[in-house]
Amino acid sequence: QEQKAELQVFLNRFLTRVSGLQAVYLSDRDGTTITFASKNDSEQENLSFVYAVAAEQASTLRLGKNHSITSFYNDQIIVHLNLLPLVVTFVGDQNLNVGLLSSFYADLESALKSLRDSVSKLENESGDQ
Amino acid sequence: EMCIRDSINAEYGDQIMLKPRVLTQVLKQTTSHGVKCSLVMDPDGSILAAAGEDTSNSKIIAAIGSNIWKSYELHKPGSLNFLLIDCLQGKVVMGKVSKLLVCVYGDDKVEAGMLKAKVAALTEYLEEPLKQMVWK
Repeated sequence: QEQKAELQVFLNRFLTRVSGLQAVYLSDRDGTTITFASKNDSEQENLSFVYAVAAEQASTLRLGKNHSITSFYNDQIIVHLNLLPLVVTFVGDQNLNVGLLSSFYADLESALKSLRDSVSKLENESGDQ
Repeated sequence: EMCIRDSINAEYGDQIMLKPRVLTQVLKQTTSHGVKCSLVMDPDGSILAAAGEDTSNSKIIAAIGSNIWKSYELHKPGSLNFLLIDCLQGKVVMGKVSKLLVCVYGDDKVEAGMLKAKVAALTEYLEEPLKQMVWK
């Protein structure tokens, strides 16, 4: 619970620092939300379950491992960041500063390393069983 | 310039057809400064035209790219305008034009914004000519 609260505080910081950002989600590869931070406190569709499959497909493009996928809709921009088995999803309006967001990726990766390792370990253990 | 009229075909009336060579020349104008290939494909990933130094990878990128596009488009049908796929050794940007997809990919040194700008320019330029084509 304490770790979840810390994660939420960490994710909330993005909402204040990045213009156009409306929500940040942290989920597993199946799209199950671990935690999220949102300007209107409600959880919306974030396509993280789509990303896990898309990332694996994108990694077969002979362009190396997929790092992220950004989708630009008429009134929304969704950025998926590959930290498999974790997926970080940024949902913003059409003014979302995608460039600024990308400057935070290294910090995000480093901050989520221990959680990522724990989830990987759990997946491996349940796979062995 | 992109299309020719064939008024002989009585069944379809004035049939608008595509000049692939002209389309390839248009695509070639975007293949500079790290851009490996530009292509126009149908939503199922079949390539209509391609240009660039690295067309060998284009079939795979077209097939997989169109599949990823379909997955993301389901979220808001008709509303997806661009898709940026950022990999460690290269980037792919896709956009839609008429009933087709435009795809530009480059190495890791190309900035995503440049690729997106090229796709936006291509889609704007090709929208009117491709809209005139007969789609069956």
